[in-house]
Amino acid sequence: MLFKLALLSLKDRKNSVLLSVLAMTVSIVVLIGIEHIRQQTKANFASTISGVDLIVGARTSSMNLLLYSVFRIGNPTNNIRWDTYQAIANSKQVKWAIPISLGDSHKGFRVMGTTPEYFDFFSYGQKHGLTFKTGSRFNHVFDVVLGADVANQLGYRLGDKITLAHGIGATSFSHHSANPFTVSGILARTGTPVDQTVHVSLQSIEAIHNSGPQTVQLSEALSLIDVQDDPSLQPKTITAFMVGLENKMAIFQFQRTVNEYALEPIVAILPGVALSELWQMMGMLENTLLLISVLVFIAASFGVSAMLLASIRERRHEINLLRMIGAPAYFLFLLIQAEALLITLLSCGLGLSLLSTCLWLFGDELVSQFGLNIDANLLTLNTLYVTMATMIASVLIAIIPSLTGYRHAKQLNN
Amino acid sequence: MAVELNNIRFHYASNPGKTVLNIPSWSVQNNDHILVTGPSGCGKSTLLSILCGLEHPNEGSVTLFGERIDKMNARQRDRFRANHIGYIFQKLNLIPYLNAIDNIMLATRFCESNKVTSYQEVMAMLDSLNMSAQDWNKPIRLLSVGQQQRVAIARALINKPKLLIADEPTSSLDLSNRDAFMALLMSMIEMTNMTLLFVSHDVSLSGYFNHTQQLKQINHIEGGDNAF
Ligand SMILES: Nc1ncnc2c1ncn2[C@@H]1O[C@H](COP(=O)(O)OP(=O)(O)OP(=O)(O)O)[C@@H](O)[C@H]1O
Ligand SMILES: [Mg+2]
Repeated sequence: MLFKLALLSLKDRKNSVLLSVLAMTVSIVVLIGIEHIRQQTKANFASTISGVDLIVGARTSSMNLLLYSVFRIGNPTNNIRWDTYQAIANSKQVKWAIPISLGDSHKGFRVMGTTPEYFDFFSYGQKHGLTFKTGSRFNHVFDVVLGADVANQLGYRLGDKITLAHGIGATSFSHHSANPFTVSGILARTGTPVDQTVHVSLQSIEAIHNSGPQTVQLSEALSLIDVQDDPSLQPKTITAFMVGLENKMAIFQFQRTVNEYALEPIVAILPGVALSELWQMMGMLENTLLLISVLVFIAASFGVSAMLLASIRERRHEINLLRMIGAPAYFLFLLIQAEALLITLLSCGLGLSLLSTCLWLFGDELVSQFGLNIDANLLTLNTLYVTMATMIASVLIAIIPSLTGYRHAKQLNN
Repeated sequence: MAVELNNIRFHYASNPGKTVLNIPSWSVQNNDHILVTGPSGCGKSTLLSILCGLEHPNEGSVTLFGERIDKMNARQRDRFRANHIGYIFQKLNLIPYLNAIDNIMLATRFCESNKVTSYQEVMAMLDSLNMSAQDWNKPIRLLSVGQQQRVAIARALINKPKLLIADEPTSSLDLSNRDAFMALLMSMIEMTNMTLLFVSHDVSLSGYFNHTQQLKQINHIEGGDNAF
C-alpha cells in the first residue's frame, strides 16, 4: 500500500517527477558508465602485452616508447638503425627479437611492418599467443595479416586485394596493380591494440617506400624466403623491437647494456613497469572522472530531494487526511522515502538500459576511435555495488524531505 | 458517555496569547446525534482536532468512551483514531489521485479491528451510497463535489467507528445537494449505534439532530471573540 500510494502520488505529479527522473538517469548513466569503462579499461590495459621482456627503441621517455610501440599512439621521434637491431638481436642473452616498423596507416588503422616470427612470440593477457581466425601469417612480400577489428570494420575477407601504399608509394604501385596486397590471414580478437593493426612484412614496407623503377617490377607472388637477401628490400631502419631473453634474471642487467649502447642512443623498457606507470597516470584521470560523476549524482539526488520538499507544501491536505484516518507521522516519512527510492529505482533501470544500448550500438565506434574494448554486458558485481550505493545515497539524501514531511504530519498546521 | 471534557484550556502554540478553547465541562451521550453551531473562527474545528487527538489540550482531560486520550502517547492516539473515529471534512476529504475504492481501502489500512475489509464490502458501501459503478475506479478529482462527499461518507464509515465527526461537510454543497447529503448520512447511521458530532455554522440543519448546541454555551472565552 505504501509503494502503491507513493507510485500513484508520483504519477499524479508526473511533470516535475519526470524531470527529476531524467536528471537522475543522466547522472546514473555517467556514474555507472564511467565506473564500467574504468574497470574494463583497467582489465584490458594490464593485459595488453605479456611475454615480452624488453622493448627497445630510439632514446625517448619510456611512456612515449610504450605508447607508440604497444598502443600505436603517437609517432616515434626517431627510428633506430637496422645494424643496431642486428647487433643486439645477435647477442648471446637474447632468445628472440622481433623488429617492428610503424608509420603508414590504412583507412585509420596503423600499418605495422614486422617479421613472421612476431606471430610466434607476441603474447597478451595470461600469456595468450596470437591465433588466426582464418588464414595464416604472411609468406609473401605482399601478404597482409589483419587484426580482428580491421577485418570486421572494413569488411575484408581472406584473399581480398587491398591497397596499403599511400603518397609516393601509391603512384609507383598504380603502374603495376591497384591492389597489390593480399589478405593472407585474419587474427582472432584479442581485445588489445593488435585488433586494430594491419600487419605486413618489413620488406613490403621497404618496397612501399622505395619508389624506384625496380620496385614496380616486384611480383606479388614473391616469397619472403626468396627476397631474404635482396639488399634493395633490406630495411635500413626500424621503429623498435621486442626482445625475449634467455635468462629472465638478467633483464635489468641487459636493460643497462642496451641503454649504454654506444653507437646509437637507444633505450630499453620493461613493458610491465611502463604499463603500470601509464596506468597510474590514466588512473588519476579516471579517479577524477569518477569523482566528478559522483558529484553529478549527488547533485541529481539533491534535485530529487528539492522536488520532494517542494511537493510537501502542496500536499498539505493529503498529509492532514492521512493523519486523520490514523496514519502515524512516520508513515509520511516512509512515504516520501518510498517516493525517492522509486525515482532512483526507475532512474537506475532507465540508466542501465540506456547505457547497455549505447555500449551495444557504439561499442565498435569505441574500439575503432579510442581502442576501448568495452563489454556491453553491464551485469557485473561492480555495477551491482554502484547501483546499491546510489540507492543508499538517495535514501540518505531523501531524509531531508522525509523529515520535513514527518514534522508537518506531527504539527499539522493547516 | 461518548465524550467527556473537563477543564479544557487550549491555545495554539503559534499564538500563546489567545485562548481558543476554555471548556469547564461538556459531555455527549452514547448514540447521540448532536449539532454544534457557531460562527466562523469560534473554535469548532479546534474542538474537533482535540477530540480526535491531533491537538493536545494545554489543560484538562479528554475522555472518549471511557479512555483518556490526553494521557495516551502519539502512537496510541493514532491507533485510537484509526480504530474508533470517522471524520468528514468540509472539503478535500479524499486523496485526489486515488480512486474511490483505493481511498476507502486506505482508511482500512490503519484500523486494527478492520484488517479484513474486502473489496466487496467497499463496493457494497459505495452502492448503498448511490454511486454508480463506473465512477468507482476514477480518480477522485474527476468526480463531482456531491459524489466526492458521498465517497467521504463511505471512507468515514468503513471502519464502523464509534464516533463520527463531521466538520461542515455541507458547506461546499448547494441546497439540494446538502439535503441529499444529510438524508444519506443519516440513513447510513440510523441503524448503527454511532455517536455523531456534527459542527456547522448552518443552524438550519438542526432538524436532522437530536440536540443542537451553540459552541459559545460550551466554550467560555472571556470577552468573547469578535474577530469577525
Ligand atoms: N493552526 C493554527 N494556528 C494558530 N491559530 C489557529 C490555527 N487554526 C486556527 N487558529 C485560530 O483559532 C481560532 C479558531 O479556529 P477554528 O478553525 O477552530 O475555527 P472554526 O470555528 O472552525 O471556523 P470556521 O467556521 O471558519 O471553520 C481562530 O481564531 C483561528 O484563527
Ligand atoms: Mg472550521
